[in-house]
Amino acid sequence: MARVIGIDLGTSNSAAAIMEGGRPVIIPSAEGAGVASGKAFPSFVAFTKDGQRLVGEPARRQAAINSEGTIYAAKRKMGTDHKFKVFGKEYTPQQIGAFILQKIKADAEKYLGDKVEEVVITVPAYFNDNQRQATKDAGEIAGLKVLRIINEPTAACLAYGLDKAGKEQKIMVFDLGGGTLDVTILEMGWDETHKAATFEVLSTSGDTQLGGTDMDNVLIDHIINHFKQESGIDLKNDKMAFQRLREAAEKAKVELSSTVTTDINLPFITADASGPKHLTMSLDRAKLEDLISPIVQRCRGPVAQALKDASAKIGKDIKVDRVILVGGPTRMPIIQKFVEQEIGQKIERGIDPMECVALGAAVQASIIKGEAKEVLLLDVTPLSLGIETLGGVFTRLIERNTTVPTRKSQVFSTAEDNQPAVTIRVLQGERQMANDNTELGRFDLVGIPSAQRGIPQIEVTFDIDADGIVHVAAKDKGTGKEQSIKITAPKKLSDEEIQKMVKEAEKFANEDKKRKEEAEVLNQANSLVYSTEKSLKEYGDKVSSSDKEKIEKEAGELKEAIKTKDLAKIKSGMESLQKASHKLAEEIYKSTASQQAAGAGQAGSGGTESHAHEDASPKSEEKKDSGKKKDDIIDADFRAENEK
Amino acid sequence: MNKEDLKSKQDVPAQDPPQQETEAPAKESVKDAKPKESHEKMISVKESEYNKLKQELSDSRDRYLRLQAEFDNVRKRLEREKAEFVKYANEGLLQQFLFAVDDLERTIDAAKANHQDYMAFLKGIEMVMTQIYDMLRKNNVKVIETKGKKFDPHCHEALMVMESAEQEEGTILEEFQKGYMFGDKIIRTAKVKVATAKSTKEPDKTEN
Repeated sequence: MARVIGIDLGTSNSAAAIMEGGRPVIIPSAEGAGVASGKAFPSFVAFTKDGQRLVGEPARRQAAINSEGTIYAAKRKMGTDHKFKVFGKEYTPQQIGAFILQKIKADAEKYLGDKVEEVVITVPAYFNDNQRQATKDAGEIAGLKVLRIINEPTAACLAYGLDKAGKEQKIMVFDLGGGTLDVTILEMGWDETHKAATFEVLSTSGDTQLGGTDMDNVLIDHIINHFKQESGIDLKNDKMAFQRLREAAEKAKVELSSTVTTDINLPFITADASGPKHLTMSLDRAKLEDLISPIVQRCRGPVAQALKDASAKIGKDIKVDRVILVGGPTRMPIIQKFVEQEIGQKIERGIDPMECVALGAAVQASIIKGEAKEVLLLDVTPLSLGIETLGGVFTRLIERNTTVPTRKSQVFSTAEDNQPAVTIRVLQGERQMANDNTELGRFDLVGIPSAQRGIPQIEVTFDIDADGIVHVAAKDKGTGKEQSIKITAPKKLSDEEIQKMVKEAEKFANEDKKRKEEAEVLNQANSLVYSTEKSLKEYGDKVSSSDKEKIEKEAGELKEAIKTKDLAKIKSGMESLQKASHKLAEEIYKSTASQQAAGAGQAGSGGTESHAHEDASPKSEEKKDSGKKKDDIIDADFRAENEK
Repeated sequence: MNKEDLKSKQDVPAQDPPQQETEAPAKESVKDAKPKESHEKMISVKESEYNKLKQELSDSRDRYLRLQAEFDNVRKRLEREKAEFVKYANEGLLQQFLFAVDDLERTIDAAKANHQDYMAFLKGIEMVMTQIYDMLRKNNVKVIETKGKKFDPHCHEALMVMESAEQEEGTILEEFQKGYMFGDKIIRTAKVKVATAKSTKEPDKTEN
């Protein structure tokens, strides 16, 4: 099946994306990533003197030696009568665009292993019909069927899923690229009949000569001046030094988006008669922001203009509901702060601003093809879900951030001989111990036939359906008896609450781990005492009475130790009991040949099994009929349980 | 069906004059409007059949959703595993690198001692470099050849050009920064100076 991709045909960089499993992903450019451009590639096309055609990185790399054969930023000429004259041949901007699209098509087909015939291409919101038609023609020339030309800011909104809001909103898209600034204000409407968002451009504004390149240049100048003051040497005309400097400046700029200070170290950057010279300086974010501040201030005019025009259009002062940033330089905190201050609205986060437009184009492509229906908006469980098991331990069945609907089962057993019922406490949270988490509900599974501990098999199944409803069922695999609970509205937690719970789990991680280990050691000790006593009952006559006495004594001591909950004591008690029981074990193995191994083997492995928590209270009384009524559904309430 | 939608579907020829100064389509709809359903023929099915179909649809839908969710969960797991893998993937390489670090520290100690045997010091550093080159070679990292070679935009990047009488046009004259290949992948292009023919530039040459 041929695939449909979305293409961001940019002035300086181009990129493509495709929907994979319901989410858009960038298609990497075949020659690999450039330094600054992520997975995109520069919108360069070149014709070499020996008749080759180059597109992307290779075209850019040879631009210096082949300026007359290299075409850059052809997008600026889209829709005009301009002809690029190269070595006696003429090319229209559409043809140049087509070369870039052909490369994208080839890269995408190589990446996907599949034909690409249909595309969605983005254009700036201010493009007129001619420019849109020319872009479409470029697609046709490249042998692609252009399903739709959409506005770049609209694509950015789709990448953020704003069209899912289902209500009207005003959106500002602030697109600061390598060399241009585009500010667009959109009004998103909601078409109830088709359950689809509509986007209307209220205003556009911008500056075609403003961008990240300007920022790089002031930073490089700053470093050069700094070095000149220190050493008296001007690096500007030293190509080799300048190359290293450019890279170091770029790196420093990127680093200062996440750290507040960075070092620039360029050893042996140059030399004079006195010896080698090194460039070493530290740069902090404040200095960088100081340097680029004049450039940032130049964004103010276009933003104000866009707001003014949009207000004029709707006939009242506009209130922007959402702000989206597009373009590499918008990763810088100073730009983000600037926009938030100008608009008085937090920016949307979470999507790479350089990939945003291409990703949105892919979303649009899949909407047109009917691939992305509303059903694909799958939720995730914000917190882990599980049950309480022996010793008050929280055993997770469904990890946090699992996409739903999903189902997980695990088999548990009983903790005591002849245990008639188990209580399933359904819990939500990230802590290791059950009582630190929130109880969503609980129920008992009764009527478990008398059996030794660890023998019954209780299968607990968690199922979260597409509506987020949690079904928990426990089934005795022996009798087929089943009991379940339905938790209709697991308390909607706010992001802050979820974050708080996750943070708390991290904070108490060590403490919790210790407590969980304690519980596990206790479980193991109990299980060892149990199995030893059981073996002693069955095989006690096979060992000498002194051995038997010794085992009984050690078992008694371990029991005492368990009562004190002193871990060190318990551990050493377990060791001595195991040692004392060696004789017994030997005898057991001798006679097991004819024995049915099941019982003994089962009891011996107590430590590794999970046992469902046994609730001593006769809770089972509440639901006498549970045996017959298999699908008894209880709507639980979700108050936090702290009574234990 | 809204008018704007139609428009964006068509080939955007000269249509009704756009109301906006931007001349962009006034409104973009994310979804294509579906054509109004014509008067459909009514068919009848047995209630049991209808219920069966309804049930089948709901079952399939659930299965589909679950598959999607599972796909998503598998993807998350793969990402986790990949991140875990990447985190320690360089271990072997770093181990090798530590020897070079040790030796470089020794060179610093030696230099600090301020003794005069410059040649012995240089020899030491050269030995360290030999070790590093060896490490690169074993890891399949190769230097991209430049000087005297013909410029190739797939592995070289031209920073400047110079007219040259002796060298053929397109020949690399000087290297500003070495380039490297890792296997068959270029991890850094070589930054170079390239020779041009010793002819005066004419902007629009007809043939070459």
